[in-house]
Amino acid sequence: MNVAPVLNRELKAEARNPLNYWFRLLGAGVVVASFALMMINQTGSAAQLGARLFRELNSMLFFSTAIFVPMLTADCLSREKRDGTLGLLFLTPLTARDIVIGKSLIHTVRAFTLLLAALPILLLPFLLGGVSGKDVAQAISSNLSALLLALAAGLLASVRNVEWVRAVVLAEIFSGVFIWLCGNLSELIVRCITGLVWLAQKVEWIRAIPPSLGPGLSGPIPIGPALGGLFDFFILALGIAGELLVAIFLFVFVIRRAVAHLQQTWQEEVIAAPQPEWVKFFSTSGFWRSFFRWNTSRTLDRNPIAWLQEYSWTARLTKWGWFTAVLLSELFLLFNYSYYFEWQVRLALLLALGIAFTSAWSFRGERQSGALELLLVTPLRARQLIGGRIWGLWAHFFPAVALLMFLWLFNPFQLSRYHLGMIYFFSSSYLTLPFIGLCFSLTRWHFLVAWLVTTATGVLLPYFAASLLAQYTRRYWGTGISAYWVICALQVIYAGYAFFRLHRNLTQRTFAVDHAAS
Amino acid sequence: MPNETANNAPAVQTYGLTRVYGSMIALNALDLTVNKGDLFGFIGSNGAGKTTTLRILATFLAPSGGRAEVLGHDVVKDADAVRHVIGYMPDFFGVYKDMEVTEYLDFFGACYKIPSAKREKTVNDVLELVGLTEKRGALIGALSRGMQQRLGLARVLIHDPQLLLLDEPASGLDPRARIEMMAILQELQRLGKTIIISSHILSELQTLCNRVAIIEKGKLIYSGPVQGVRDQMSTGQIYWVTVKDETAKALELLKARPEVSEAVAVDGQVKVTFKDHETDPGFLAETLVRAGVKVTGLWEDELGLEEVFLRVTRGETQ
Repeated sequence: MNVAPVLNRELKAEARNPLNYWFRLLGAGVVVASFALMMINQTGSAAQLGARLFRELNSMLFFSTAIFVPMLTADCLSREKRDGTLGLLFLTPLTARDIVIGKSLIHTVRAFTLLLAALPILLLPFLLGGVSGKDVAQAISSNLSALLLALAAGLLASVRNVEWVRAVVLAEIFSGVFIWLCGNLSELIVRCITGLVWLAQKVEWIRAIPPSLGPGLSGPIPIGPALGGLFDFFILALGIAGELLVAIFLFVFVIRRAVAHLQQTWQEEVIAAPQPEWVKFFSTSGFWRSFFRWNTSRTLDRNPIAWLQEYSWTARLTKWGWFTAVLLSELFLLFNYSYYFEWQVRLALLLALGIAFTSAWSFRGERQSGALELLLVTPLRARQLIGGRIWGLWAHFFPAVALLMFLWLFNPFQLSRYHLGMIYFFSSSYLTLPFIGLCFSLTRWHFLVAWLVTTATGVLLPYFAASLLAQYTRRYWGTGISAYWVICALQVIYAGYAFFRLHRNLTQRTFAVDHAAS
Repeated sequence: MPNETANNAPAVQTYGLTRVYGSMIALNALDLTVNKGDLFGFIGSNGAGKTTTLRILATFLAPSGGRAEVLGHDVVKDADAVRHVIGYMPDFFGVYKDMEVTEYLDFFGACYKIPSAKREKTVNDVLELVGLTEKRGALIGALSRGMQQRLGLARVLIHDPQLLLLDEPASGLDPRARIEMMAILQELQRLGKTIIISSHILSELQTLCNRVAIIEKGKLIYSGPVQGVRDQMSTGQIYWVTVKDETAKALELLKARPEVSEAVAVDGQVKVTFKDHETDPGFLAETLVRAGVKVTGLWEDELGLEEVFLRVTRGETQ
């Protein structure tokens, strides 16, 4: 195996990649903010707080790993395909195995550095107490498993795709599936083994053991009570070992599949990324094409830039896909009302992430293809370009957001002041996020950084700030609802600043131009 | 009388045009004039400042110093008016690959505020002009490079601009596509458009353009007719003679003439260098015919644009 050249190159490239540094900063920042928020909201003893902090910070780490590691890994091989460098690697004595293993090692190191960035805060609950060895073992096991599976998901998606967006979407799907599979398989293993133990108590041959061999062995053996704490330890160790073994098995299996797939397909020249089957299904069906048909000419005349947001049927499919997802979620929550408000916040947060994603992507495609340069030499003014895009983004998410807010506001259950505040907050986020996302979409940062900065400054920081301020005002001034108004006002000011910067950058052409002047 | 001024103004006029990127001077006090109806070749090495000039003229970049006028409109103060009269095609496609060809043109038509009732006909007309009518419903991503380049040209023409700024329009095209592109440009010139074209394929500019400008390190080295730069660079001292069967005799005869500094045989032809570029070349034929040598050809050594370019530039970039 000759992994060294790949490792060497990747290490140098990753060391120069600002995305890694931003990610560490953001990761640590989010963990610190969460920690601060939990400390403010703390009730009970220090030990209880320590246990709760440990649990919540670890679940945050688990979900961050499951979401961000596949996203960061998904482009490792697809980019080589796009740039045409994969073939060059294969013209050297490197094999598919060397390349995949080299890439996976580097991305493992990168993922570990992200974990390390969050480690100091993760250690704080130990100082507060209340964290048992069992908690630590379970946290290590679940985070390690998530890391392995997320890496495997990213690599597999990267091997099978050329385009970044497709690779990322597939990686996220794979990550979810693998983690679900790992959780269920390991649970199955534990259940099987404990079931066998339970069965062992029932089988007749044990009954037949003569009493002379030992006291109590000549009847059904009550293993659990007999072993006491040892049995619990046995179950815990079994669960952890099962989870890790399944994760390792899945990781190795997926890596082998990725190697085999890369070996078979590296010579296929990339002319254009093939359409996925579901896209072919919709685009070749006359019914679906007409179903998603949209009267474009009026919008095109009135606002050509807003038209850009909606011209493709896939964009319209996404728009109504969001609407359907919100509708189905709301229906589900209406029948599971005990989770209603908790999930309503999560749903709104998810939608905000979607808005941030689309906004941060917005001008990026045009900047990279050079279409932005062409738009800027048309008679359209910078204000029209921005206004058109903002309008397009609002229109794109309006059905889903309107439905969510309407059902949240007029739900059949009692609406607390906190949730009323959340409705204000998310309505304001919906209106202001496109400005912030567009502003960051013009920077030379990696798209993920642009998206995360948009999310962090447009949603997460205001969210934490609103929660903190609400706590404070509730304690001293009563309802706490005014805190949300303050945060909404700050969001509007921030969006205004983003608009000003965006306008200035467009008029002065001080944004990142990917086509260098000669 | 602004319109009258605009009507009488040259297509492009720059006065000390300067553009600085940080500490690098991309354009250094460029004074350039392009007349209406010209097919103007803009020649220079990579990094010489061609793209920067075109970007400034297209109102995409603001100059750091000096000023530029396009059809009488200042590119900074009157950028809106300039945008209506120019069509800018950069050295990349700038396409939306998931759009259909007509959607793309329709979109840019709307950006130029062409009424929807008129747009369909305009789109059809420009598609016909660039030979893409059959591809009107195709996805742009599925078009070949040459076709995408033609689509770029169709986009440039959608609002019927008077001045076309084309940055490397033939780069990366195969010979057939290149010839077709050049034919379209000649047709556009015939239709009265002024075209500024930057290209590295100098042999094509030589036949296509009536005027050229050579730029190096942001400075203008030459601007004028193609023949003018040849004459300027040509020493006027070299002539070629072909004779029937008696090359050696012809060589002897010409070497003996006092006006000739050197006569050599090159691939069966005689290359004659005069001592003085004022010399009348008529004596060459006269000398040979009197001596009974049959002259089959006599012409002045004409410099190609490539040779001129190499002579006037030093290949220096920023």
